[in-house]
Amino acid sequence: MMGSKKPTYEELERQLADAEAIIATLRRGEVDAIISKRNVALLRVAELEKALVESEAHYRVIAENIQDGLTVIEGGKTVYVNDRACQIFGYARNEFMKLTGFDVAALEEKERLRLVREEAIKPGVYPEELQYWIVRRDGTKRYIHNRYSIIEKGDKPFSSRLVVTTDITERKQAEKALRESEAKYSTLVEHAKDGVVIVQDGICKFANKAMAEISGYTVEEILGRHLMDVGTESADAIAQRYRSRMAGKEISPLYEAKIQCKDGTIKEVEVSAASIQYQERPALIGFVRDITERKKLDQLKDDFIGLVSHELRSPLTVITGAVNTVLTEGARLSSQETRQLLQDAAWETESLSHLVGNLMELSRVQADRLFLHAQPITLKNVVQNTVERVRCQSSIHQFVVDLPNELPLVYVDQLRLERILYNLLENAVKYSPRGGEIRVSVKLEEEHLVIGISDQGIGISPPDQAKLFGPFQRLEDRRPEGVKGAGLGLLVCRRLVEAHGGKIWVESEPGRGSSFLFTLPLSTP
Amino acid sequence: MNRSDRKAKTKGREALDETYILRLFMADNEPNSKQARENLERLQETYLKRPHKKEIVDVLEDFQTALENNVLVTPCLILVSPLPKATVFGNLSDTERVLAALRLTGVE
Repeated sequence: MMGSKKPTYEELERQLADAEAIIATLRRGEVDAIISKRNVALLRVAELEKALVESEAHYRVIAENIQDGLTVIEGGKTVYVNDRACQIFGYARNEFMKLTGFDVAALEEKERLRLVREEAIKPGVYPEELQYWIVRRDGTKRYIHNRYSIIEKGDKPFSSRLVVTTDITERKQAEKALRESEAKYSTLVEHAKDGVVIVQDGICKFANKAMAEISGYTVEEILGRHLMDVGTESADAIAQRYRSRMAGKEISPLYEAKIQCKDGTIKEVEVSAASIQYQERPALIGFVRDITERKKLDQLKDDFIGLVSHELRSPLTVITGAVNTVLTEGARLSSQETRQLLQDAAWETESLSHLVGNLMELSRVQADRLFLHAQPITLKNVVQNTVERVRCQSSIHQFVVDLPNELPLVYVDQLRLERILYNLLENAVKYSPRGGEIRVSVKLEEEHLVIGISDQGIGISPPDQAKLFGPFQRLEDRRPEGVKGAGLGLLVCRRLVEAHGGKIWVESEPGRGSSFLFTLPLSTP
Repeated sequence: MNRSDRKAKTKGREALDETYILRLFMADNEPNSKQARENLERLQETYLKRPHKKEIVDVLEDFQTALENNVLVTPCLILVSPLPKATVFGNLSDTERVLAALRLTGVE
């Protein structure tokens, strides 16, 4: 085809010009087919370019709409950021292109990140992800999570990095709030005075310290136990309530039960229960309050009320009887009989007024309304008067008053001091039924007076001594036949002595009598 | 001179009859070819008022003619007559260049 003839110079020149024109056309991308001797090859450049553009556009749409920030870093320089990354970092795109994630890291994070970056210079050790605080352009702080991938590019595998950034500030704050709230509740539960247990599938899954204290078992020993495993007749009731509650039935949240402690004692507890989700499954939380003491106190109060009403009723019976006899039978009674009846009524009235007086003192203490009317008094007179009042009630006791010759004036409420002495002397009489000496002694010490009342009676054992001054304590077994009283005397003494700033105690041995001693401060109250 | 040249000469002789002949080599509906044909039609309407003839060769159907005319790429426009022959490559979007190559003044 090229022919055998040599082309002329003009032809060569024309062919060269054509070739140049073709190359220029190719460069302009205006060629769409090349014709060779055998066929025609289509050059679909535009199509290829279009596909390329479309694919780029496709990825750009993804990149711009993705919820994560995307940054491409090449050789330490940001070469691409998407809108979301700009939003997260709080910079305009052109500003952020001049920065990297490291530049915007919060000051306190920089040292940590610098170390990571130094490590990262070694090939293959770049972290896959990092979480750190950043400071945005407006100064606000956000917590971000970065995931890093290497974009491999031929023989330079570490030249490009894709950073995917997620703003996890809210998650971080929620986690913190959750942790704080959990810490708060666990502190509450751990420091609660009530026992707290969580029961799931009938098995104890959680117990706090208070629960361990109440039961005597350690927390570890409680865990894994069945809720029926309480060692008392309450087990069935507990199980039945548990089933009802887990079945969603409405039952009263509060009930009382008995549990056996590790040492075998039975404790009465008040339980309030509620349904909860524990480790994402239904469970029951129980608040367990030890009401053993409260129950005992309730019992004591009941007994006390019964006793007091009895103590009030018996003198009244005597008084009413005596007075009525004198009124109706007066004409037929000798003057001596009449006198004896009225004397009985007078003694019982004294006893009644004494009991009522003690009750009133106690109720004043309880209502916090015990006011002392302190004045300077001569102790000697008060002691002697009170001893006289008691002496006439008993003929079998010898009363000895042992006072120093010189005693300073004491600053006390005279009526209250008389009540203390009267109670102690009355006790001394009651608890030495075979008579003997009752001695009142006063000793002057540096800052106070010590006043003692000793008898030669039945005495008190040390365990009983400890209980003597408690509320509503009567030592039934040491109470001799026929001894009356509401068990109030010593409690009233203690309250009144303490109100004066002193203290009261007992020294005694069973069978050898007792000494009750109390102090009165010498200083002006 | 080869055979294709002779054939061109033959067509060239028609130019002596004062006939204005344009031959466009193109490849089917490929974008540049399509554009070239449209551009040529526009040029014809605007600048080529005198009587003329236009041949269109689709190289996908007949590439032998292209070879005979020494056409190596499409689109390619050849002014066959009047002589001297002139060739324009590309999609003919540069109107001035095309007019110059076809020796048209643009004011006809």
